[in-house]
Amino acid sequence: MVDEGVFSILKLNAWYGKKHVLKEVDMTIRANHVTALIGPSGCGKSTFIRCLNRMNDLIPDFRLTGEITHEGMDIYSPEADPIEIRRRIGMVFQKPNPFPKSIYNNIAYGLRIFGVKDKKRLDKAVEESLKKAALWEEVKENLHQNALTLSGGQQQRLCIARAIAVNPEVILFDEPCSALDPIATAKIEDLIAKLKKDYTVVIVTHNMQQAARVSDFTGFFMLGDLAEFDVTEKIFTTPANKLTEDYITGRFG
Amino acid sequence: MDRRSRQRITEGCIKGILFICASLSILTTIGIIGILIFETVEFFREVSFFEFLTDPQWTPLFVDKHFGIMSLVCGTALVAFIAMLVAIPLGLLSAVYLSEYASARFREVVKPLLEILAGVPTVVYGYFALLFVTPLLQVLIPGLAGFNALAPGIVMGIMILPMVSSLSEDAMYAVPMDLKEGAYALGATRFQVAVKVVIPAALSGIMSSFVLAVSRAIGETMIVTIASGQQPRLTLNPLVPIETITAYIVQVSLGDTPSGTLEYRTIFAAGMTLFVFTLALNLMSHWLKERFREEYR
Ligand SMILES: Nc1ncnc2c1ncn2[C@@H]1O[C@H](COP(=O)(O)OP(=O)(O)O)[C@@H](O)[C@H]1O
Ligand SMILES: [Mg+2]
Repeated sequence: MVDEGVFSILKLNAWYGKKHVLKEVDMTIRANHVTALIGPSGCGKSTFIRCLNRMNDLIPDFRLTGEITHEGMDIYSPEADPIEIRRRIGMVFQKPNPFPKSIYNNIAYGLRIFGVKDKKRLDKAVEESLKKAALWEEVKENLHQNALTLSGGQQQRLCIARAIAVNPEVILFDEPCSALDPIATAKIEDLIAKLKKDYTVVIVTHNMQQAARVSDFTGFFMLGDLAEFDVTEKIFTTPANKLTEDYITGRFG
Repeated sequence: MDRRSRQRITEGCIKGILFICASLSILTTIGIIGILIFETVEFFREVSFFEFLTDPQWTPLFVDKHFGIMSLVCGTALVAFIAMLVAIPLGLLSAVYLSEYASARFREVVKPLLEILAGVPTVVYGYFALLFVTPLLQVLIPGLAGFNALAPGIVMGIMILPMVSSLSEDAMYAVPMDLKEGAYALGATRFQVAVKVVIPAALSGIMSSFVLAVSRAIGETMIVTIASGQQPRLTLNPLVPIETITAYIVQVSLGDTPSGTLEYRTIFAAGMTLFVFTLALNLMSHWLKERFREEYR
């Protein structure tokens, strides 16, 4: 039972209209570990990670079959509430997307939509989330400044803080560093390594070194198939699949 | 003459003609504003600016002449206010529905339909107000006069609703998807995303559409000429006959007031007042929209 994992994905297939983009994907994602998803662009990584918190529900002609259970509950069953699921499974996107509001209000947003009005509680949550996202020291003097005035790397950490503020169990990252410079990227990677103490982390990345550095498990996607899934060290030293080896050694992709 | 110099002359002619065409429209505008200013200045030689702004009565066509524009401004504002009371909430709701809830198919069908609604001649709306809405309202409100501000105000609101809805929807649709996804990923509902993310982000565009709608409402002529009566009155009571600036201008233009007289010049003074208001509103709307652009680039 220990190896059940927080997510177990069984025979997941997904389509946009008639386009079949995920094929028979099986995966187990373990709690308090970092799972990286790599693969050439267009192979379905984003689609996969967005299935985990039902973000794809927002795309009109998206369809899936198979089963995704989170903590033993089928998240696509009729009783499952996508709003509740997204609160428990947070997400950070490729391009930093803070709201055009103050830093404070960006973080308070998620709590306010769940009816938290108490100023003290909001203050505390803002401070704690910013600390966890390693941004507090840089912005504590300017909490009421517009978030769009922050640098790209700071904005992305703000988005992480915003996700943390609603107290999720899982945080999904879809190429969180692809719009950032190397220094900002290093900060986010440090942060992700720390986050796994409290959260389960799934990260999509096109950067192989990043996957190798931050993750415990790695899945390699290829044209909608999960070609290989294993302990990160194994994937990067002795991959079982020839395709994986070709990809990580830079022979294509 | 060789071919090249002939070609140069033709080019020159075409350029000249195009220049004249472009100048013509600019000159016409300048001409209109010039006449407006000239006649207004002439008007104020005979009527003091102070009387114009403070006299509670507007009776240039009677023996006992009063030139207080405020009763016309008041009528105009009253009708426009009623129109906005209808157009803003309904326009905003339908914009939210179209941009956040409706399927792409539905939007494709409904948007052009709304624009057709905006193309119905205003005279039709005018008689709709006079012959249908007023009698209907009289059943509910016994004291309602046959000519009043309420019915034309409501009908005008319906008329400008498509404009408010369409422009607000454009502004809301332009809010980047990743911003909305940010809110959805925190567990926001569709309604919360619309109210707390989309509307604030599109606010300047939405406000700009409101201001443009007000400008449209105070400049609207046919509906009020037909259905609101011709009695300038300094009142905020929507149930009695009033007169708007535009309706007054129509009244005098259609009458037999000889040109060059003071009575005749009142329409220019009234027109100038209208022009100042609409110009200010249009500039404001433009400014709001520009500000929106800056925020998102
Ligand atoms: N909203 C969408 N509508 C239709 N096709 C899509 C949509 N999003 C992605 N796709 C297609 O699905 C495939 C997988 O895309 P994606 O999951 O974004 O890949 P990745 O993140 O690995 O680059 C691609 O071929 C892409 O073109
Ligand atoms: Mg992607």
